[in-house]
Amino acid sequence: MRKIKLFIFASIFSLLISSCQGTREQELKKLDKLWGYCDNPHRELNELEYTTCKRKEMSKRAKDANMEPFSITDFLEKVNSGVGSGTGFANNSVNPYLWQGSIDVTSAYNLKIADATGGYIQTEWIYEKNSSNKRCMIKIQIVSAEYVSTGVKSNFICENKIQEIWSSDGKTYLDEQKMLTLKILEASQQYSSSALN
Amino acid sequence: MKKLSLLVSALTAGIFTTAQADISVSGSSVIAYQSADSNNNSAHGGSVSFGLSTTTDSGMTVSTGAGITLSASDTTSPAKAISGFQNITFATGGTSITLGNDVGLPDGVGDVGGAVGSIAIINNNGMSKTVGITDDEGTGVSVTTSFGGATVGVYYVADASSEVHTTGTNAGDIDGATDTGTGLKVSTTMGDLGVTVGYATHTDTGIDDTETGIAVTYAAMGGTLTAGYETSTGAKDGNQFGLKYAMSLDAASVTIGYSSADVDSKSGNQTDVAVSYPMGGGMSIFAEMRTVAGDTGTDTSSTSNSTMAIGTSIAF
Repeated sequence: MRKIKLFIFASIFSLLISSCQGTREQELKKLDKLWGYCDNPHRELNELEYTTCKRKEMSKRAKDANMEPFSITDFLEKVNSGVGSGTGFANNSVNPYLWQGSIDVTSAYNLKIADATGGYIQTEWIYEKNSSNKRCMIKIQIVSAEYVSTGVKSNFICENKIQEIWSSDGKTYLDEQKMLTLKILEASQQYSSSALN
Repeated sequence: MKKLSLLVSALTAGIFTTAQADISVSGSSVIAYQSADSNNNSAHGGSVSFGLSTTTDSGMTVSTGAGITLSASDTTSPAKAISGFQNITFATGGTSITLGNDVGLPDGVGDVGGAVGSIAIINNNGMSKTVGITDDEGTGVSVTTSFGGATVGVYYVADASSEVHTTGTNAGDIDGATDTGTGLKVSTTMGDLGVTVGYATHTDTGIDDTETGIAVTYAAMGGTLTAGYETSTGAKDGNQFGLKYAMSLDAASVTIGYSSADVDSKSGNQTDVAVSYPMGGGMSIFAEMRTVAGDTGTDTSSTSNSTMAIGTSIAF
């Protein structure tokens, strides 16, 4: 009987997982707006976390104040990156490690724009060697002063040439963008690690 | 089109992995004056909560947590405790899976009338009976995902025996379990309404329990109104409803809650009022009160139907 229950349960899991949409954090943030961060029915806070959360909520003046716990990792990265201390970057909204990592990752391509102040990189059109009627470009935006995994956004833009007119292929390259972002994080981590030593 | 995809693949080839670990910490401390008629006490406590997570090469986030507590209100179990590391959560895309010895069933969804913290209810007689199931957590698994615009959680507890939590005895003994639980929780929106429905069961050698609850929240009149209803069968047979209204007055937060329960032929109700004011820097002052009426718990010289607390808490 127990095995049958487990089988049914596993089947339901599979169905649910196969139909998932969006990201977990996006869904939680939508529910945060309705229920509040601490009382979000799907945050599944244990008693300790809930108590701490409510005390934090009581100390906030704004309902939409940041309720995320303090990140030790981010703090150490911030200290070691010197963000805010004026060590080379005119704009404190661009994390220097993420910026350098992005430059490294795109170094194989000609860059059309590399704006360190705004944290924006755009390559020239990149053509496939044996096919001149298809092209892509990469756009990268550093959106955080802190060294966080969500601090860099990347985008692939691709076009087809049809009757001498370039037009968008209409596709989104989510997996490739995710991989590119991970590569930037990997490259930037080397600079971060160097700064630690 | 295929060639274009190949071009993109070529752009991203030869790469791309790294692990991103993160450790977060939250903490709080509280000191309060607490009163139940002539029984007056001070309450002190605090906690540190750690969240640990990392991201795998494939983008899956793995997280767990732990904490250290000095309870300001727990007079029955050890006030000092080290907790956590009972569960691990794997999250990828819109889905998360939690495995461990402290997986909670989705009971209490409709229990929304509580507005005060744990200190204000010290020595309160409380309602004599409320809805619920015999045990609501234990060794198991839960899955949460998005499904047609709703967030859906499915829960299975293979061993909900209390020894697992208090002494560690038989912890994780799935096939030898004597009591099990299942559950489903769905949250969605209907216009401006947020709606959550929960269903939980608990089965053991004695009696089988079920609990069904619904909660609705709505932003109204400058605040947030939450209403809930739940019913249970088995060890606690009855129903309960609750209302809570939370609003801001200048910087102060005011919350009023009301619950009424009719369980096992016992009817009671409870009214909560809580006011807090942020002082900046994570500090706040609060005043909270709970009053119960109807069929309440046993009244003694040290307990009361009406209790209150005034104090300050600091969140770090």
